[in-house]
Amino acid sequence: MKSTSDTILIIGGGIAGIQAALDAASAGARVVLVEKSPVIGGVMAYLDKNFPTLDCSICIEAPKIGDVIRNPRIEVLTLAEVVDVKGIPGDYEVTIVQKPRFVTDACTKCGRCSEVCPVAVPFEIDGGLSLRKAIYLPFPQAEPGWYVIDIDSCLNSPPGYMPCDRCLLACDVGAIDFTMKPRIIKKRVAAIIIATGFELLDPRKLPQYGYGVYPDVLTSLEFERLLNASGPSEGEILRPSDGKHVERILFATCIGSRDDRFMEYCSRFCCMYTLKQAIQAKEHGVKHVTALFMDIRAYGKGFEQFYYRALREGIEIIRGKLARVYQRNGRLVAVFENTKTGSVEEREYDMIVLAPAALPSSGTGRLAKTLGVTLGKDGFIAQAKPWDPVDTVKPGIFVCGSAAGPKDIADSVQEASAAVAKALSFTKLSVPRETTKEEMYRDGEEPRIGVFVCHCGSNIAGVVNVKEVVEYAKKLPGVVYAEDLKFACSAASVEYIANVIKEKKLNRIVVAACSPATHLGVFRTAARMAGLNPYLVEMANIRNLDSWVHRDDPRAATEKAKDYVRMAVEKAPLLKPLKPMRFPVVKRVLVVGGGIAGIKAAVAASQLGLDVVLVEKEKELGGLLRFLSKIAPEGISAKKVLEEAIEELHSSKVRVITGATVESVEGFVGNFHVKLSNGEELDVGAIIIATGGSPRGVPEEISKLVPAFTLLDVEKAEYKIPGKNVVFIACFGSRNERRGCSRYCCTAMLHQALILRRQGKNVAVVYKDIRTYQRGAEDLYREALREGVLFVKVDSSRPVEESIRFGKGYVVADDELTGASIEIPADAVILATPLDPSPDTSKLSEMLKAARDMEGFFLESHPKLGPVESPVPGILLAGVAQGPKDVKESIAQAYAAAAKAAALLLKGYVEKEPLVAVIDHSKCIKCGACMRVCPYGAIRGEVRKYVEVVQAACEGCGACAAECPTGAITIPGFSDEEIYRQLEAALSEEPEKKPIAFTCFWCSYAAADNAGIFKVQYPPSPRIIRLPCSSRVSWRLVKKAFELGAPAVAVTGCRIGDCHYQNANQHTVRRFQVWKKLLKKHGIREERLILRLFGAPDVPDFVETMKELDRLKNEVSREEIEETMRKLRGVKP
Amino acid sequence: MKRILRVRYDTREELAKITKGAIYYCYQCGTCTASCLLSPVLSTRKLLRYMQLGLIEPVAEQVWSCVTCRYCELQCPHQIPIVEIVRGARIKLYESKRVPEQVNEPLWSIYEEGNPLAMPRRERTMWAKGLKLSRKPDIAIYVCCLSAYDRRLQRTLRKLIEIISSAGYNVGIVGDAMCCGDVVYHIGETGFFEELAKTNVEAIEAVGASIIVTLSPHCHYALVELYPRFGAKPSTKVLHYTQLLAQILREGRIEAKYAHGNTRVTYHDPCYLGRWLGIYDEPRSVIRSIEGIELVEMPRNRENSTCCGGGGGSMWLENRASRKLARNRLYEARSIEAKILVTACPYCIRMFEDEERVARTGLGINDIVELVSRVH
Repeated sequence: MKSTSDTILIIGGGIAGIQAALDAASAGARVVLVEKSPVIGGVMAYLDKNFPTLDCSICIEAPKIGDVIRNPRIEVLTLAEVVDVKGIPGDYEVTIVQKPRFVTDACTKCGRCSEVCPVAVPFEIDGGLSLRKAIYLPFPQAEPGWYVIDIDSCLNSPPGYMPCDRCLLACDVGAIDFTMKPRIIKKRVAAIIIATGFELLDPRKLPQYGYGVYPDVLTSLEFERLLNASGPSEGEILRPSDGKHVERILFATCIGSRDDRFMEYCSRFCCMYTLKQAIQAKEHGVKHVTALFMDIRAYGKGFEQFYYRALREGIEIIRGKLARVYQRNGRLVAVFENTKTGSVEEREYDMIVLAPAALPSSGTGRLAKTLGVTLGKDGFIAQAKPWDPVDTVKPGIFVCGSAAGPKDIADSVQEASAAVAKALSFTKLSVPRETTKEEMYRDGEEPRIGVFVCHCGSNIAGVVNVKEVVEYAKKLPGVVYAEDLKFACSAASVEYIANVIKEKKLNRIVVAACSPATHLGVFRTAARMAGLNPYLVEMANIRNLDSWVHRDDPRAATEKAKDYVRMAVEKAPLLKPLKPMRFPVVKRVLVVGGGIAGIKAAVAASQLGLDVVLVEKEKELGGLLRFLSKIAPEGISAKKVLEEAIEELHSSKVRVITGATVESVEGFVGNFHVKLSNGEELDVGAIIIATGGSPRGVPEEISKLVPAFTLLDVEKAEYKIPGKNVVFIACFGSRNERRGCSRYCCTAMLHQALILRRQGKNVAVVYKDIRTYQRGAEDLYREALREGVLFVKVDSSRPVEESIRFGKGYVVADDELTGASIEIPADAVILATPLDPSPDTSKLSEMLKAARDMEGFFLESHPKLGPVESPVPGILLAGVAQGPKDVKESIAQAYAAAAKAAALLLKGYVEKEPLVAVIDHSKCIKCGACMRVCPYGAIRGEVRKYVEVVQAACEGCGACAAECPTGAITIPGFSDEEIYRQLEAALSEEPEKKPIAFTCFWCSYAAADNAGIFKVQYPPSPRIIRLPCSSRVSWRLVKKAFELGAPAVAVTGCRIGDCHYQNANQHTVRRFQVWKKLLKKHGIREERLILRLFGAPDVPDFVETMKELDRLKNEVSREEIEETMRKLRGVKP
Repeated sequence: MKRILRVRYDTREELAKITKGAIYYCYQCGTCTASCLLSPVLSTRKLLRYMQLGLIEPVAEQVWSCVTCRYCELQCPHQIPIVEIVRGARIKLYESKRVPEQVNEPLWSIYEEGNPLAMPRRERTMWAKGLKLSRKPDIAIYVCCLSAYDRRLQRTLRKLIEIISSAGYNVGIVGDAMCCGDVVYHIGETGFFEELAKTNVEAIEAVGASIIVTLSPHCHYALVELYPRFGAKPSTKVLHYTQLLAQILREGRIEAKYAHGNTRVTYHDPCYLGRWLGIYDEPRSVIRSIEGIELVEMPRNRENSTCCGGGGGSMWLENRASRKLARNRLYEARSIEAKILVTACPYCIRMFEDEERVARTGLGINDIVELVSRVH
């Protein structure tokens, strides 16, 4: 394909469009992002939290929104629609009409216009639960960040009709312009990506539920807004009818989905968000939470555990469907049958939340017509081939996310990257030219610190007295400027901060806001924009570690916020400007595994101009797909798909090596050195892991009783199974304590069941929940029912094995729908066994230092927004290696991995954080202690001769710094001196009241962040210090804390075996014993020092540690502290 | 779970055949059962569930309580013809003679006397004594068995004929009609129903009227929907009397007035007229055009209307649950302070009147026709 354009048009600015834009831009394309509404962000921006991570939705989306807005290669056109497309793939001419916003980019978001606007209309996003003005900002972090006039509600419409002009007069900067006209914009683009998302069915179409009649019947999106701190009730679950707190709530799913009168398909994400909302309701203090499901479709990674969590939290999960809602004595009554007990319930609720069907966005049909693409019978954009997730019928035009059927965030971003991989192959790419700014900072300059304290809406300001913190900050040494910001992370604020830096000539900034884990990068960008070295930014986490967890004690929370700000301000002058280390990359990708995911990833990466080597351990390519006969739900020939893929592979430039495995991997992103079992050695810039999975076989004890097969056996046998009576058993070995859902099997199983049924057999399916969530899969379920496959439903909450018994010629299953045990004739049983990680996974994971999840699959960098990357830079994941999935999903992930590899390597270099150990050779005695503790062998040398750090290999844990007897090693940002400053700041006033907790960034600090997300309250006394790893803690630091008067000290880190830095935390455990002895030696009660190891999700452990510190604090008297301080003061480290 | 039930694939297939595969398609969401007016006496979901397993014994009793009101069907997300499935179960039970005794009586009576009421065949037209009925009518009335033999309903019928005549039509009756067979159909005696259909259609054709008017929505449904399925489609246009009245009033052929001053009434949609035939507006337009009558709606109206409890053979099975339906409806009518509960089906009139005798709500029970006191 000869490309003449370097631009990709992306239609739709939700999370899929955003991800696509970012990936395309970093791979070297230009992007025009067209969005119908006034702002980008899509539905995700309005959600409170995401499942199953319970991340704050806008908090993780806002940085991406900001990246899009700030990226010079991305042009964002809001209020715009594509009206015409001409031309050919590689060179389309598109016409876009942009409606006037009536507000220019001079807008400063002061909000005065909104205050004076006389028109209030129901705010559509809050489902009319709140009002907005005719001139408004859709949400606080909205981007583009200026106001917008809804001209249909405005009194000036049509201009001059009823001249109002109040906003015009109120605006100081003259940003309002009623003369703006629609713009017609023409663009030449190489490829088009449709990412138009979905919208919800109006439940008024189902009058039996009383939506629109009873104000306390809400849609799920409205409820999401109620949960949200910037929503109409500021995060409280209040009844719209009377503003009272809710005690009893009902969640009802499949409202118009899986319904022949409305949408026949499954809307896919409702089950999970319903579980999430139920859990959140419980956390908000709603006493009775009931959720109705027909099948709980918790098919994704970590979803099954989330379902168990909902059960543990005491949510009443009932199998049933809401039949109707009426009002009795002013209270809502829900009528439904509990199909397990068979009783018809008529229960009173304070609030009922409906999960309506997801529909194609309005205008999808019109857009399809404009683009010349087709729609499926479900009304969403059709894919050209069932197995290709992103191709439409028109070359050069691709689809991703919910535009091709409802999809959750993770699946949407994965498809977005996949669409980019395809679109890039039509596009002329260019390496983005760098804009290096002159940095203002010069070494030795007096510190000029700026402090920005964020309200985070009411998240911080609702508890902490932000103004008081600002005033406090102003008085701190070195601070020349301090102020508060509503949302410090919004793109407009970031720009604002950059301007302040320039204006006030700041050379350090401290942002007191949320967690550096999520937002440090955002504020570093602000510094970069202002020409300030980004490493001169420090954060004080006064949200997750403070306002969220001390809600009931605003005084203590404010004091703590001041301490955290002071700790950051004291540390700031010691921060050093650093330059990211830049390493040239090898523009070659290694794909490990030659199954369908590996093949597709290899071909896609090769088409994007990368050199690709594919290694397959077997002699033959094709992986599991070789053994399949047909692919569900469409029933397409597996052979055809595979042959086509192999054909593509052979006609590409990919070098294929079969019969070989990876023996060792060294190096890091951009420069991996790989040895293969055939003796060959390769240098590659990135590695795509596509090692697939292996379906478990039939346990022997079952084969003895009855002829038993797996789904794979049935595929291999091309559906020739003996006997008249066949029984399928779903989730055999899955969905228990160790394993979640294997995702692909329900659909594959029903596909087989239908084939066997059509052969004239009696076919029964024993199941817990039918999870036909994929596009077209619910049709398969409906067909299987219609054609007489018998379904036997057993208990969802326990392993299927406990609900069935095998006999000679029959299976007995405990059927929930009759409450009886059902004896089903069985000449053969077919078990849907779990898809396990392939056997090489553990070896490969060790080699690559890429972590695995609880089930043994490769762990992704973020379950929602990073499903394709591993936490190790340069290691990408494709297909079942990352978790069970079907063929189409594997292919999507494969394309996505190729796009990520392109984005990583095409520009020719990678950057690495400069946070590596630095040896002060004037202090170094060349004892070699550091070399012994480095988990990466990144310190080279010879005792007494020389010692040096291999920068490229160092990961910056700090184990060496703690081990060094002379304090010659520092980790930038975590030097002894910097940590001392923090301790001094924390303990400068009333030290006896402030125990200290040293935390590891990856586990205990993350747990502290999570405690905030879950709003788990704990005593406010402890002050938390963030370190890269617990192995950074040394006797010097422990001693310093006690010496400064800390009543107690906790050292916290990962559990043994879970260390982010291989095994560095073993040194912590070893040293802890030494510290205890030293304390004892100095006559200090060793009980005042504790060590606690736990992981990021272990919020209870973290909270327990905080409580323990608080208890310890109470046990220590002032005298004891003074004595300790005296005793330690003279002691040399 | 102690009870062990064996899946019977043979019976399952048989039931699937009778119900044209309808039992298969149910995904057991329970919406029908939760919607069922007879709940908890009847669990349609479980009925279907047992039939899916090929088991008919566990449902042998409750299947007879279904009043075929069809409320569940409208709610069903898979749009399953639940009433047909109930009928399928009854057919299967009928084959194996697992039938309540009360069912046999009306069947025998229809067989021998042409009506389910055990009344002599020769007395079927006695109500018309003294009326001048046309031998070559424009409009012929297909008289419901209930109306033919019940004193009160006879009066209503005569009133109807008077109204139609005053609008300028020649009115006659389908004299040789027998019971429409609605009850036969729902009890599951398909063969006999087919016979009745043929006989009745022949009788209708013999009259030679241009319009056939039905009194009972059950007869109407049988004539226009069921007979054609059994190869007996009347060639004449068939109207329910409410449709005819609406037309006459619309054309201004008559003007109707209520004699007893301004009165607040409510209208009960008969299941067969409403949910089965979709006739909601005509009865209302007739009521609204009667001078002196104010029509108010009950909370449950039109598609959401409840049932008098008389359908599907329940008239003869006389169970308590269906009596309760009638009573609840009376209370509902009282709750909106209506003076009269108006309806348009002989079954409904019978059921409500019988129940009112016990419940004593003070409501008047009237057919639409009875509201028309004076005609101009």
